[in-house]
Amino acid sequence: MRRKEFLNRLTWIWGGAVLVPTAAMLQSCVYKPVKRVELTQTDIPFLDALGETIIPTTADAPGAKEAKIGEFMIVMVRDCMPPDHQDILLDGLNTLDEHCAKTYKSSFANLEVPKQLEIVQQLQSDAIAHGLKQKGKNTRTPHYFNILKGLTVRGYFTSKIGCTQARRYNPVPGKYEACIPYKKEDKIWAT
Amino acid sequence: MNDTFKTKNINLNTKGIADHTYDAIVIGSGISGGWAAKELCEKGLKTLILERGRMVEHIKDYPTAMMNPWDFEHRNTLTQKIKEENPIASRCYAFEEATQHFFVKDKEHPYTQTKPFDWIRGYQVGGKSLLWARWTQRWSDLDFEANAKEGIAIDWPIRYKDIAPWYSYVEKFAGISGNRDGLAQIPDGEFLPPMEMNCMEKYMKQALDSHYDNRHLVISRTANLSVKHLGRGPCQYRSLCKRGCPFGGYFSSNSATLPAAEKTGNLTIRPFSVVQSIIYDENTQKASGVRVVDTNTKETTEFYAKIVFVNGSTINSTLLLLNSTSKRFPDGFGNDSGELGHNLMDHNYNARVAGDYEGFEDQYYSGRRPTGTYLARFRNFGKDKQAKFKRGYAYACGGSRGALWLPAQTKVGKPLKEDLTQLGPWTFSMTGMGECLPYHDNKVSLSKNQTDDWGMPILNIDAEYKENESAMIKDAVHTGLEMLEKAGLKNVRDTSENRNIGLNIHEMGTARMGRDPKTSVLNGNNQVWGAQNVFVTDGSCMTSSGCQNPSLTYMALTARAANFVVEELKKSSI
Repeated sequence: MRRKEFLNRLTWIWGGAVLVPTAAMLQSCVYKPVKRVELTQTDIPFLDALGETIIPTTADAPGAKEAKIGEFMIVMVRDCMPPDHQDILLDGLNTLDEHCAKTYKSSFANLEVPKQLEIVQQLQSDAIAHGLKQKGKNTRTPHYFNILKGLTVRGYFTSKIGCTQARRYNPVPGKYEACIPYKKEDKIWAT
Repeated sequence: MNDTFKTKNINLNTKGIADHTYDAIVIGSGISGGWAAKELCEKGLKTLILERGRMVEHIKDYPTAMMNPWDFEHRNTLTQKIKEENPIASRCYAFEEATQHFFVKDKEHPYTQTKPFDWIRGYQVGGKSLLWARWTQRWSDLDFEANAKEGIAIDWPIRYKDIAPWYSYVEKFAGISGNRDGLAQIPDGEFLPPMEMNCMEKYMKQALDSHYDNRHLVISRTANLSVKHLGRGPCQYRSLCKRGCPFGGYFSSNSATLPAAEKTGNLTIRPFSVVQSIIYDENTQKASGVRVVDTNTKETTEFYAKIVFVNGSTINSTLLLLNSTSKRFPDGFGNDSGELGHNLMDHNYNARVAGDYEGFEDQYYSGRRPTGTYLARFRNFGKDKQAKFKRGYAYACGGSRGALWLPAQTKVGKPLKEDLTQLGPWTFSMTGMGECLPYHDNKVSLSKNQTDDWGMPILNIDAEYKENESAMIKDAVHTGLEMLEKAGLKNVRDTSENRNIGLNIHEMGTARMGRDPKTSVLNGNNQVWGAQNVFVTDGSCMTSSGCQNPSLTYMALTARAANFVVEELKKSSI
């Protein structure tokens, strides 16, 4: 939607009342992706939304967003990720960002949850296909979605929420029981 | 008396010498140095420990011990920077964000390598006893007789009967949990109650017993306290031992031997003290003391004692001995044989296999047992004879259950979260722990022109696994896969590694014990040939490597040597 058309439509909706569109309104409609060279604090909504789609809030435990997955990713990518993987991830995130802007005129974070899930499911399929194509190759490069998913899983299950709510955490067990009964709905130990 | 000593002696006034004189000096405070200090102090000797690293006080200096996973900036992951700066140390399984302060960084003490050798070090009071894996099977005559029977290297000067009482002695103090299994290749000891096997492990034990008559799976004897012992522990089943244990749940110098030594009032610990050389006195034909460089001030001082225990860990003890030259010992202290620095061994842990089990879905465990199960050696033992290799291997084994990682690989959203919070199948994994033979050309040597920050020559390591080790590892993989298949496990897989020699952190052999001064550096009491008041009781004294984890044997040899020296002092024969 072009800016002029958008303003015309507003006029139509509001019956000719003069309305100065706010920045936020403009952004939601003419979302412009940014080309990242690194992850920064401004990417947190994007990363949180991706993380939350990969590990969502469920009845038993909050999801990756509440576990501050975006913050975790920024630190881990900066400090703990080999440069070639950083590049793959950034390229992938830029591509995804552009795709959302082009196709949905929106950032990933502002999409409806079902749409976000659809996109992430597609990425998972792409990553599986990518993996199959790489089979047998000497030097294999990961799909960026696998890097992103790996970060989400690692970050979530080492977070306080992931350890204590999604799983069971006992910092000082005090004893070892070699055999206890287990039912399918019982959670696994966090550590 | 050598020239340096004479000059120094003139410059020191009598009071200065007295201040620097002890009954005994122990070089190093790790697992064997701690024992030497405890034994000597308890027998009434004023003892000085010289430790090259910083002080680490039990509990107070374990900064990460009570931290949760989310308390670490990088959730206990090493940063790229740390990995790049420490290619050697970061290959060690125990080097983590939570433990890195107990490891020597690669840049802090460089060495050169003719072939890749990963030298893992912990320079602090307590040394690597803070970090060790705590497995403590005894050796048997299968090990002590092997060299002589096979004509390899030289004979051990001792047999099991010589060390057995000392195994008992150190086990009683250290606190070793274990079961009396009645296996000749890992003799029973003085055990605290054993930790229990889980259902997967019990199943494997039974399966192996039903398919073979020589494959015995037992709970590993381990220096973790299953019950409170001498005021320490018990183990709280956190399995965070390598961060240092605030409950004193496992044996370390810091938790056990050093406090015992301190209690006598006879102990002095001097950290930041690199021993450069042992001073040889030609008049008495003994060591008169040691020369020390202070790592903070770079000042050199001397300390004197009637006896010296060298416990700097295998390679550093050897470096010190090689650097201690005199007219009497031009090629290194006690090196009449030319064997000092040679015969470097490690173990080979590259053989790894695993399999999944369909069953016991309704069973799980609670608590994190800090040990595993041990499949005792069966190769070239009893009726088993192998044509392709000598000696044998044991397996470190464990049964465990993790999340549903495999199906989770293709999922996102709620189904992914469910897979990762629910239990997957039981897995049983096995790591072959292979003995390495002593080869004269696996060696360490000193640079002639380069020195490190403390004026010590730069050390070069030239060692490799050879044919016997490779053939053994091949068999350990093949045999491991076969056992898992016979036991009915699924998805049986070879997960072998390709670790450099050194990375199993069982370096030993470079100042070996023997019966003849022409072929060994130490006698049967760990006494240096030609300097009877110097004892070397860390891993460098080992004449062969066995396939058991070696620390318990170092402890026993140390206590035995300390007892010997005190008896000799009483007779005034040292």
